[in-house]
Amino acid sequence: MKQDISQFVPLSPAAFHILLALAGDELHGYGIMQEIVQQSAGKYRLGPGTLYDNLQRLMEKGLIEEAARRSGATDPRRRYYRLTALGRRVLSTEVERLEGMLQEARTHLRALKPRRT
Amino acid sequence: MARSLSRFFYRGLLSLHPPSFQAQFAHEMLWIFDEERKRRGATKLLGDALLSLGRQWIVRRALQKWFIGDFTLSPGLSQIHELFAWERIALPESHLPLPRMVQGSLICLLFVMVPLSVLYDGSVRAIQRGSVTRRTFGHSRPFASSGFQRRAALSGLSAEGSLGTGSAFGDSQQAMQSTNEGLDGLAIGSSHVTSPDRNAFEGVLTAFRRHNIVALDDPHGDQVASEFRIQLLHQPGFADKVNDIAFECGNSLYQKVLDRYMAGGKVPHEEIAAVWRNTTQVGQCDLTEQFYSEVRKVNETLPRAKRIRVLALDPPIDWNKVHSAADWVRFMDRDAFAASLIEREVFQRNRKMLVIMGGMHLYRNKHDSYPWLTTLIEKKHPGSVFVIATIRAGPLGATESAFAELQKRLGTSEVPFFALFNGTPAGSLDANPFFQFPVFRKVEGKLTNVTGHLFPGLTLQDLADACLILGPEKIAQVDPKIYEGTPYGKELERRRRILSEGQAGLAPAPPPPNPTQP
Repeated sequence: MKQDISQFVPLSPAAFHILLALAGDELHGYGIMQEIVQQSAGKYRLGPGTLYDNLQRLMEKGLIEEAARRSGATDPRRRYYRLTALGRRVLSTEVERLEGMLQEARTHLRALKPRRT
Repeated sequence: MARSLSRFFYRGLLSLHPPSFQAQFAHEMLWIFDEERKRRGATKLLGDALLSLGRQWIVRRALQKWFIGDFTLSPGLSQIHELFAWERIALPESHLPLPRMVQGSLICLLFVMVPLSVLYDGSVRAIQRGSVTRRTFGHSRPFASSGFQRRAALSGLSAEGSLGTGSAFGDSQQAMQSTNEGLDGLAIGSSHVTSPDRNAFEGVLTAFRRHNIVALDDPHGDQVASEFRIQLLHQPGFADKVNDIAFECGNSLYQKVLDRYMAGGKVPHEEIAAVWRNTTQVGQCDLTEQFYSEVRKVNETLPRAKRIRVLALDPPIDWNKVHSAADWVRFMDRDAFAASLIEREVFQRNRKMLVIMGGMHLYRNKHDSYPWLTTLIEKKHPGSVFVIATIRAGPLGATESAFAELQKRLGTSEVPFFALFNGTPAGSLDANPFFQFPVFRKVEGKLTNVTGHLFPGLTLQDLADACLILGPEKIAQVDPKIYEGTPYGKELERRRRILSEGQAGLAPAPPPPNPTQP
């Protein structure tokens, strides 16, 4: 049964960044923090408390899940997370929503520009 | 002392989170705290944990219970699900057990201690800036007790100021400079601190996650940089992330010999030595042999499909056919050659490549009209190269004051250390004092020394994406005297003569005349 995606959007900035970070690869918590810094060119950073609070919530909603432990991992306590199929659909929907908003905003900005006579 | 105190408080905050949250995330949060505390201080992390605590108990738990109608006054259920002591207010007949009283006291203490530590940090920062004055009967003088400053520095307290107020640190000016993605986690209660080496290696390797080409600046002849590269090769997971290494110190004329050598085949020393001895430059590649030998050793431990291929980046010059500067200059389009090789090996085959080349080939110098390697690649594939500048103090590297300022902005003097530049205080530093190697350019027809003025108006982040900070440079070159009187020694002399004639004729950016230049 397909879930109604609209109940998950709009995403909070933290949730959006986390899902985006996980779109490429499975990552552990610290890896997600690093990825977000890179994605935002250092402009957006999560603290660990905020990160894990959001991870917990996203897992409860079924948007992300814990990946299998990696064999030969240097630290067995490190947990890896990945997007679920639902998470990927929600992320795509959110990106589309943002694109639409951006387009709308640009249209309005253009309309607001003073016209030369 | 203060470090262990802040860690103690952080652990305390974690232990006050709901048990399920603790069981799932506390270990990793403490690990991140240990790593991040070194970079940005403990205050923001404590604030973040405090906010998380509030969210977990008040927003998540309390509201959930409220909305699902579970906010019951039943003593039995409240013993199972009780949140804060306020539930006891509604249940006057029940007694507050001792552990809950201790928990309440700890929370109160933390609510007092965290703002106090923020105020204390703010004072330290203000004192370090010399902006706090002590007023005594109308007089004011700087309040800059060196003993106090020293204690503040030793305590490890953050000098970055205020507590983060949002749900994230998005408003922080100090961007994250470390990429410790692969560092070992730390056990609760462990006093182990991760080696800075790991930060540097992980930094370089992490860059491959988003880039097919990671270009590492090679300060030619620097033993410290050479040793770092060798250790990098031996990092776990290196072969998983890197398919090819392209090295400036390799004549592509001998690529087949190099392939055979890297595959573990028997190759006489004279034959393999031709790869780095016969490049277009003379005397720049003395440290190459050890690196090639280490790659071969690494390959011996890998299955065939995972072996690292080393690609020679220098044009296929045949010195037997070079008799004049004109012959040599024909092979001097080195960046175009390297770019075409990378286009073929990386973009057409979708491989991950570590490029090791002199910094001038790699830096994004927008004022330079010469088409250097990164410029050429990014013209066709914008943003595809992750450039890492190698920074070290020394006569050919950074000036002492520039190096000290960089370390101050990074908040660490550890070496080796990897730091991102984009949008960081370190990245906004003027680039020129960091590169003191002698460079000559043709200006109005004359060869002019432009050392220390290579990048007018450019900052470090204009040139590169990140830096690798190494210890003081240690130039290690083979003493040319050992070749004196030998056929190879005579050949070197002949090549030097050709090079000096050729460099005089090159424009506008001749290769540096000194072997330590890129």
